Amino acid sequence: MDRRNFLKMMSILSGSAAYSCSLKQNPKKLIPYMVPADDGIVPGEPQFVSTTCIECPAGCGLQVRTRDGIPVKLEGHPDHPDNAGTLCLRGQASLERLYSPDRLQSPMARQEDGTFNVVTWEQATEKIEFAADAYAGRKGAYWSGRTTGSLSNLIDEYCEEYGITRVPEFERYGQAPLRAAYQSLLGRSEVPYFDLAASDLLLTFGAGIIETFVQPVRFAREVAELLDRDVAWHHFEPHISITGTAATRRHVLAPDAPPVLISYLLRTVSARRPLPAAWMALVPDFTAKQVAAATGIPVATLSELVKSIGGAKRPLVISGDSAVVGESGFQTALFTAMAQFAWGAVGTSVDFARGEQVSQLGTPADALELRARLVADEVGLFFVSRIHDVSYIPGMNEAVGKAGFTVVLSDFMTPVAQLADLILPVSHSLESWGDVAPRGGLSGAICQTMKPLHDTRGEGDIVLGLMRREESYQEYLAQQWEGRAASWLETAFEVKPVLATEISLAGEVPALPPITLDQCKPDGAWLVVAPSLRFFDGRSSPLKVLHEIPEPLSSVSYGAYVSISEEDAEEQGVSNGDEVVVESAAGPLSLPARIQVGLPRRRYVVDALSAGTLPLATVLPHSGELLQVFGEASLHRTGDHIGLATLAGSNKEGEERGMLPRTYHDEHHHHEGEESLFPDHPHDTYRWGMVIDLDKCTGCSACVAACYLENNVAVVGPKEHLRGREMSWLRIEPFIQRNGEVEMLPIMCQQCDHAPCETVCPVFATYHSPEGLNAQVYNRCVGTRYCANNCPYKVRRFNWFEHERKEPYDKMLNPDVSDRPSGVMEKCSFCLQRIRRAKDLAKDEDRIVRDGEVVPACAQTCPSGAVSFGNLMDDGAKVSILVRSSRAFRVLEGLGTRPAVIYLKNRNANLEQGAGPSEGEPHEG
Amino acid sequence: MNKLIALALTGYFGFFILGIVGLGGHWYATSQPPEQPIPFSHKVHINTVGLQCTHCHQYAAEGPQATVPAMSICMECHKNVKTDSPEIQKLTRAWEEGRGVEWVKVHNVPWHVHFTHKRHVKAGIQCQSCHGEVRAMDQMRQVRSLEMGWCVSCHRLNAASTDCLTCHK
Repeated sequence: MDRRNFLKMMSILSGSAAYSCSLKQNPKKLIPYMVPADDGIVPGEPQFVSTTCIECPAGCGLQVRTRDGIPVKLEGHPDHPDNAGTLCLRGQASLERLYSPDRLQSPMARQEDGTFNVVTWEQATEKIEFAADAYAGRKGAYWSGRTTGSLSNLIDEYCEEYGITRVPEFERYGQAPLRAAYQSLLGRSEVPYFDLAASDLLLTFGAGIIETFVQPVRFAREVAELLDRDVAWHHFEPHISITGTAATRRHVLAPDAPPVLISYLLRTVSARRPLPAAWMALVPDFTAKQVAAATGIPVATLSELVKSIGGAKRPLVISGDSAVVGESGFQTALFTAMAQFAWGAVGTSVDFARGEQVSQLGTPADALELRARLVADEVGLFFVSRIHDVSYIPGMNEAVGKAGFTVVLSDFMTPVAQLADLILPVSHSLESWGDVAPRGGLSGAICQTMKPLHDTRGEGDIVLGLMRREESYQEYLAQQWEGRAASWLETAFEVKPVLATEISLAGEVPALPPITLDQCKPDGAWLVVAPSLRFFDGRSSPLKVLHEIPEPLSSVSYGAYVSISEEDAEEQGVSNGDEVVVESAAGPLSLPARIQVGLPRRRYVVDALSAGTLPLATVLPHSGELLQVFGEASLHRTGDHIGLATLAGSNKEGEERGMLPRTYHDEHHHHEGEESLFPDHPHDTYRWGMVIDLDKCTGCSACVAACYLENNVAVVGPKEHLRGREMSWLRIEPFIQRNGEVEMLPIMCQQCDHAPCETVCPVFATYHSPEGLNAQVYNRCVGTRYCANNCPYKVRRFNWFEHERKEPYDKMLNPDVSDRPSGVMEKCSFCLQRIRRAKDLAKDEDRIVRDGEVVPACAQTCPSGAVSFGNLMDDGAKVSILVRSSRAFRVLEGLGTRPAVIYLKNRNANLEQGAGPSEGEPHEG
Repeated sequence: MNKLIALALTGYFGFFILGIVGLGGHWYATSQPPEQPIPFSHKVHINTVGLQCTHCHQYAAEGPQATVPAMSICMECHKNVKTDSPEIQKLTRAWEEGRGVEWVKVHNVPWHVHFTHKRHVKAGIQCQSCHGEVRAMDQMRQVRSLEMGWCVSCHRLNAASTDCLTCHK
């Protein structure tokens, strides 16, 4: 062979080799069912299964959307009496708990060298039985988070049969002071049902009612209704929270001041029901001036409060969180209960018949008692179930280690699980059967949606296995569920009428130290450890998507931090991300600082997760609650800088930049009606539009979580967040306005009519669809990022990397939405897949889509009902009506982009200045 | 000099020939029907047995996916028909072991495409339009490119929407 032929042959060979390599792709398999699906089930179409959310103890109703048997999205059950179709961000994210690759996948036993080793369930059961024999001299204990329904009965059966003590349940946010107060006054250690909808004036002290307090989703829903009815809502808090910013009036009140203020109101407002003399003896009598000086609330405001409470038919006052976890927290709860009684709320809007199911719930004081027993080597076999972390109770971790044999039931390697001798992996609620009874008159079913992904079991099955019973928990439940309504498994909840309970003054009021005025220091320095909106007491922290979603007020996504005020930052020369040490009675806490606009001076705020192992050593007398606000705190910087992943830039430019158009209208008047250089887009049948009512939006971020889950938005991690490469399609921008009010602005792609992104795309990957959507064609995109640079709303996100989705995380993907590869721009599509589905169903019936048929994921989950979506071409559609409101405006209106997202904001203040927006329709679609 | 020209020409034309050979190879490879675990013949089932498409692909008119028939549908007949064939015995074995036959998917749409059979069937598009003369195929193969240009040409012809978002998800 000569050289030329050799080269020819080589080129052909290498070419064909390269070609054949490119053909080596795995052929897709089609695996048939054994028998056709049941009637009404069409493969590839979504199915809905009803069940109950157990991410927190509130027990909201769920509808799980499944595709071919795989759950892909959680939504609120529309008929559920408490959450009525909506869900909070933790509920939305709890789907990740099912698919997380970090889940515990099989039982594990600790070996001699301290590491864990996988064992079978049979071996695990034998180990427990062996330990039970080995520690026969010591009594066993079963310690769990709040448990209700059949599971509670079964655990009781087990404990009784095997001689194990069921110690009082532990919840970090179990509202111990409230229970203690009602116990003292009415002889009931309960958390009642607060019926916000039945009240016409709302006063909340500390209680984060739309964040984590008792039933946050229901409260958020009811608060939105109250605001619709123009009911005044005063919120008192030592710091700044989204509950405070959502209230009609937010008052700053130091943690120890509430008893002074409430006692003043109790003394001043005429009681509808007279209080017993023994109660009144506890209530101090201060003058308005004294109270004003002590609390920092002006006399005028005090008399205004007195007047409005006196004038209200059914005023409701609620205390909780920061107001009841201080030194005088018990008094706050006590006076609040008295006020509820005196002002006629007890028995009506404070309803014990529908109260929380807390009969087995203990207090932190009970946990300390358990600690003492553990330390004294009194506990042999020790079960810990559904308790995430107790390391903030000093000595508790060591005490757990002192138990003879610790068995932890958990779904993740939690701080508590790391202390175990044996870990039993618990199935996700979607993989198991069960029921809950969150409050009086309401029970919820937990329905199995899919077979367990791993070698896990539900807690019911675990306990039955320990009892060596043959029956499965499902069979056990069948007996328990006898006599349930026919719709029980269909709707997964059952409401039973409750009998109004007799209110008797059966309690015994303890002797209390008198409330003094000098205990209140309106300007005092305080460290406040608050519940976390995103992680509750920390239990939701294994869910990565929640770390990706920023805390709405601080807009910090990843990492622990302490919020400090602007004044403190200036005094100490601290800038965002500088490490500071907060010294308090709890000990030093060193964290990066986030300057929080709107936070009062000398208030240092950390959430439960950021506080981490900060020892909460003091148990308050009377209530048994842990002290979680610390006076006389101080702050100094260490000189180190830790980067903080913060998504918002400035909080203050809302008005200046026309994000919130007050200034814009004042100074530039209205641009509407100005000539545009671009021709108008023709819209035929549909022109999709969204209206967001900022007066209702609280910034709770449920919509953000729903968007992440619905649209397969990638979780990219802290490193990328620090580089400003977050992927959220929908974000909440907190803006502090000139008058001090905070406006939460949800921003997603504004689907502009004259979109700046469309004109710069060199490949027409983004264009204006005939339905008014600013379309993004992923496989056409070449990644120039011109569009993102030209977008004034910063809503376009670029995929810098391929997003690895470890098995079984890939199953969580919504099959109706593309999983975008690297090098591609992406953004909000107005939930195109949902529009498409509604159009498909409409076409089957040969009609156009009706108003309300398309509900994007954000609108679907919003507890406040702030988001509306529909067809702007339809004059009768809800969005078209709202768009014509005088409250309507568009963000950065002056740019002439004409977005299809219209915001509503009460601009009475503007109108008073005579420079309001033009009435009528601001868009001419 | 002549040699140089000849070399250049050979190289030039050789490049094209290589391209044609490559294309031919590509055509051959893609038009080859994939090998199935059981040599199922559509021809026999349609022509000889006389089955309708939706007898087996039962969701073609109702849902996004036409779906392959459930094992029980195969077994309706093959409990009794041709039980002596070793291929049918493969099927029976799978059925008895409670597992599905792993058919190789012939028609694939890319990751970014939303496609629903229901809309096309309801619009009166014949199965053959996209899947070819299946009744004549012993071995199922793809006859249409399933590329965007081909989709769009039919959409234009039938005055169906050609907005990108109709199909791009």
